[in-house]
Amino acid sequence: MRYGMFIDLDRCAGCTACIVACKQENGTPGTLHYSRVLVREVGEYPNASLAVIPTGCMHCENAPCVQVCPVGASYYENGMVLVDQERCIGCRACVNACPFGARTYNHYDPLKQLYYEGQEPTPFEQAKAAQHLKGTVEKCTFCVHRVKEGLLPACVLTCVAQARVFGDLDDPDSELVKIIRERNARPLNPEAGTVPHVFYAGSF
Amino acid sequence: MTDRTSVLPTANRTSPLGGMAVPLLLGLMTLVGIYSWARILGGAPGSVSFSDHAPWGLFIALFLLLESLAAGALFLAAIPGIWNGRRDSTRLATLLVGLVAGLCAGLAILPDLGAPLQAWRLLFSPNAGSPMLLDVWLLALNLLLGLLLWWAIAAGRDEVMGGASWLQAVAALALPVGTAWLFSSMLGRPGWGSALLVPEFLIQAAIGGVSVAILLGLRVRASLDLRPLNQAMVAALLAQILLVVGQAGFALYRNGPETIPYRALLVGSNGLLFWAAVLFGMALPVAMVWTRRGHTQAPWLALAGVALSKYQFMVLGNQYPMLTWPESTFASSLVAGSGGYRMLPSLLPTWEEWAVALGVLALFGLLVNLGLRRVRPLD
Repeated sequence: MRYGMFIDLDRCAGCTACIVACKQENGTPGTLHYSRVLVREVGEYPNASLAVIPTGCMHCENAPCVQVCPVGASYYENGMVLVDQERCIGCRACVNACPFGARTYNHYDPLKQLYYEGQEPTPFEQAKAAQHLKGTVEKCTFCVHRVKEGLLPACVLTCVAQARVFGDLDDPDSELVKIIRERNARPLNPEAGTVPHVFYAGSF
Repeated sequence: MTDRTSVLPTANRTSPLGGMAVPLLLGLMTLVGIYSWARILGGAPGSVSFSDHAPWGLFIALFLLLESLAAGALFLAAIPGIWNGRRDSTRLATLLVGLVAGLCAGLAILPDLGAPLQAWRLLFSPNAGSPMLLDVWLLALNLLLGLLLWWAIAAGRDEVMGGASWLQAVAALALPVGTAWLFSSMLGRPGWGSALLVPEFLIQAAIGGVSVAILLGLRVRASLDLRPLNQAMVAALLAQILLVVGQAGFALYRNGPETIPYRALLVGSNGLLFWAAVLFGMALPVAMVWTRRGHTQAPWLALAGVALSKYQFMVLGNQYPMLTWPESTFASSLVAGSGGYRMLPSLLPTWEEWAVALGVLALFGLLVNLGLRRVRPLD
């Protein structure tokens, strides 16, 4: 079992709903985001437009973040790269090592530094707070807690353009493997040799 | 070169320790550093400057500086041939500085950790394949061997001293190499991705160690011949200048993305600092020793040059990370001409970070000051 994802850049509208869904699902504190959408201007007026590319952790098979972690806080599980928050010492070597800028350091205590001054955290935020330890590094988990229950990651479920496909890279009959093959999808920065599990097709 | 430096005067004794005012001042600075660290740990708003774009900054530069001093000083202290006898007081003083520098290098890392209470995992719950862990273990090994060597020298245990010296020399050489591997393994920081980090770090360790030994030789012992040390310092500085010239030439002539970070270092917003380090921290000390004008101050300039170079090194890695957000993207396989790397704002440490860094340096000075008072009777 190796989980992976396909993202169709021709379908992605850059609405950033994936960012919102991710933040809501994972209850990440402050400005901490697991999911991101890069935006770039292309062309010149009057033919200018915006190109978008959703990014996040690429769940690499040969992940440099796992290799450099001095305490083994980053690890592989079913093709996903995960972080044991209790084990992380917050040295940020993994942030430096990641060639995708996918990792982010948590500066916030989610129960003390709230979104809105004077407002108590919601029960949902309180429940999620324990997963976000201040002084540690976090990243996209492919919503592993949902995947374990047979559900799709929040970003996949919420994508209005259906630009994302999630599945098992080891299953040749899965929709994921088929669409990667059909669209000749490729990962970002393959020259880095990290063997990402997130594949892209389309233009940016 | 030999003729020039051979006429340098040998050391003359001066009062090195400055009564009790100096340790008191250093102790006060250390306390201010601890207070500032407490503010950072308490999450005081704006107390840290690092970000996901520039995750490592002042503390890591300080670690690199102190580690250079430690590796260089411990290596020199392990070589008996350059001292006046095995129990030479300058040798012990150099060993002391190496040990304290190594200890403070470790302490410089602690404030940089987000979860310092978990730091014990570095020793007892490690990932053996991590280059950072290799560096931690090499630092710990150097401290242990340094203590062993200290004990062997102080206790006159010749049968231990020989073996401990060899082991210490090898471990001290390995330390900068391990650190170079650690940084070059950071795939997301192309500015650090160079095998030249190994000679660069070794040369800087040599400059650091020799400068420390000369300064101690000038102050601790009256009759130490400084000529070989001065020659070694000049040789190391010239080697560093050659390395800079080589890297600069490569960066300016080759127009690929891999040279962008170094090119930015040469002519970017930090260019002035870079060239100041080259001129005043490398070329000027060589000229001072060569012309015998102010040569006793040359080691201080050389040390300042190493410190500036270490800071520049952090800038080099931070300026052009790969695929950062939202400033740029680097996805060459999908995107032709996307802009590739893009320069990020430089890291500007907060006053708390400066205070912590100065606190660590003050602790270094305090421990050396107090330690040197103990070394004197062996003279």
